[in-house]
Amino acid sequence: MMHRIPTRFALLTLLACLAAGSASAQGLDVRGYGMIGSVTFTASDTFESVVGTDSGRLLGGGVEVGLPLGGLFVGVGGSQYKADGSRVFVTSTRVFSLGIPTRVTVSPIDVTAGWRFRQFSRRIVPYVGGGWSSYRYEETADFAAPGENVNERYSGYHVLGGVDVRLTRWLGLGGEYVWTRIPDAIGKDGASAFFGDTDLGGSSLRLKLSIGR
Amino acid sequence: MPMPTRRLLPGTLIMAAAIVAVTVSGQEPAPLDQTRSLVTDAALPAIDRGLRLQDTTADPGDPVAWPLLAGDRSEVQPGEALPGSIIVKFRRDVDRDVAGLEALGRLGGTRIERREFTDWDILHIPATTDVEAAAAMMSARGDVEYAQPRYLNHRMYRPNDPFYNLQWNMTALDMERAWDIQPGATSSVTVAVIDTGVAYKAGSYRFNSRFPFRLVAGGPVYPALGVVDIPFAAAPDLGDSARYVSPRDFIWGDDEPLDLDGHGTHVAGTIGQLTNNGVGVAGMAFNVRIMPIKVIAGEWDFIFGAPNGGTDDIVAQGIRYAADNNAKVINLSLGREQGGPAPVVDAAVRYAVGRGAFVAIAAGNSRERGNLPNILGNVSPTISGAVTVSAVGKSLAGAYYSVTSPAVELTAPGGDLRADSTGGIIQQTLDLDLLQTFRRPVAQFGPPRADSFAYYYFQGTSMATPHVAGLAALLYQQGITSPDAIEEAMKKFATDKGPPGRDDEYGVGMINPRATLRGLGLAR
Repeated sequence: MMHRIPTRFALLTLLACLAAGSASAQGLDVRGYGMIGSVTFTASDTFESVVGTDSGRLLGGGVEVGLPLGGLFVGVGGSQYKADGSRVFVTSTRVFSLGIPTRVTVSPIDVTAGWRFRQFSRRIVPYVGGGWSSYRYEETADFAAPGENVNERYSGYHVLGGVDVRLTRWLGLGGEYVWTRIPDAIGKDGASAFFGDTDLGGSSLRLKLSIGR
Repeated sequence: MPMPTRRLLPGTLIMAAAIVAVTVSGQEPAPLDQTRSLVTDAALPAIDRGLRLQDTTADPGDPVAWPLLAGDRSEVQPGEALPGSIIVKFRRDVDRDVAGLEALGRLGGTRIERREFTDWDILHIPATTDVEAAAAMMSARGDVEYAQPRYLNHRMYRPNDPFYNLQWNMTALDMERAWDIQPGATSSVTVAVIDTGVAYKAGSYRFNSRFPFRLVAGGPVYPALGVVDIPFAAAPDLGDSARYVSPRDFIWGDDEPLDLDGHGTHVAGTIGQLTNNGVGVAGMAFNVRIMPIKVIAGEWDFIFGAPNGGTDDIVAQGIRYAADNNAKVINLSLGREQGGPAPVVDAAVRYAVGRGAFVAIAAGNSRERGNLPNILGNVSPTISGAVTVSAVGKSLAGAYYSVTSPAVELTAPGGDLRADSTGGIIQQTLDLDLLQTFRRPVAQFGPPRADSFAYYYFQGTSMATPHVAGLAALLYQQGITSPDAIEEAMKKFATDKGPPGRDDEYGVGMINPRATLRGLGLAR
């Protein structure tokens, strides 16, 4: 189970890249990408208490389409963060791990509109953007009764900035920073309520390998 | 290890002032004084007489009936103070010897007594001195941290006599699902049962019943039994000797806290009765080790002339002993409703919590007798890591006897036999039919047996408290290893009862073991 979702993402990314490559070959400014990144959640105390760290690996992929309007582009991407931890009890001074295995899965979908600044260089293209984010939050733990696990979707927004380096005409490598806010997704119960954390968003640094123009 | 001064304590007063000398029976083992001795540690197997509903009953709201021994502390009832001595705790920077002698001089006292597991002294003063006034005078001194009379405590139930299907309390607490998460803790957790002792070992012990007694004023006088050998056995459903650690008897001043009452064994059962063993009933934390500490004298202890009664200082010694011997949870199903504050016990509870032990204290059973809370529980709201526990019956409504007070912090099943004849808390304990022979007519009175066991419904805040102590042990095993966090967790997940929020009947609510053990996820 642990390895199926990244495999699925890799497969989707590969398909996106192949489709983008095919579309690009037909003259459209379309690229597919695969992404690996590191996310640090705003709710740092909450994540640290349950999974031991407020940051983790992000895997994903997506498609971007350049519109015939200067540097304007739109894109949609999906990613996933997973971590294993333990249920806890927290006081003002200590976190007590209760040894009850818990898995947290965050699966963001980001719809982005942005601008590529191609006027400076054709090989190194900075870009900025922002858009709507939809996060699926799943939390499963041992000994859960029906209804005690969590599987919910929350919405928010994101802004991003990055740079794309064209390695070849069809292949690019980019890095970007994304800041996301998903308000009121957590904080009603659990450790997040104790720490007063309500935002499921955070910041991430991503490395993208793209295929297409 | 006997305490050095035990012969000089109230038992001496008892014996010295005896007014009726009775010739003991003609079997002539060497006469004993008020001590007891082991005859043999070989014994027949324990007898299990099953569920007994027909034995003598009493109400937990009733005043405790103490044996009235001629000329002794017959006038000292629970909540009252022993004459002739007070407890004094001098400040740390004070030379206790110098200050004590000076105080003795002022009070006309005779000697200072200093015991193990104490940081206080007992000043022996004239029996005619008003101990309340003497304690007040000492408290007012700048070199004294506290002083108090030696109030007498008692267990917080009265038995209302006799398997898992009868344990509505475990169902009410959703224990089956709680045990899925934490199956009974382990032997790494020790729970101290500070009570009337526990039926934890087998053997035959020789006692000397030297004086006639009566149970109630004006009641029949029961004869002295002379030297008698009493058979003891370990309660079968509590397990073998490996379950017990650091036993201690502060009533008899030795390391053999034998239960001659049944209360302590019943309480120990709710905490740690063996479970899923095909025998009898279940306990909350059925794999823990039990530390039996005897600080309360039952009727037979009095009849046999035990050198100590369950005074505040004895209770405090028991609490400190438990903490010093690595108990992680301390159960105090005892206390008193009468008398003044108990700073010596308060300090002992603080000491125990400071040493990492969670303390559960019974709220008291006097709701229909003036609703007087257990004075020993009054300190718990000021200590994070100690809680005072009220009781609910089978309907989960407050039990008729359970006091309402600002000290009540949590509630748990304690039983209500007035509402339902099967509404008590069932556990195995000593067979009261064969133990409490002093409840028979005089002609049928004889030595007790402490090797026969039966299952009884008891009720009282004494029975509620071990549920909380048991949960504390489970939480400790689950990873919540500090007393203050255990209290906080219990309160956070308690099921609110009564008016929203905390109230004097239920505290913050009824303990919820499963939710507390499961704790918090990230978002839920």
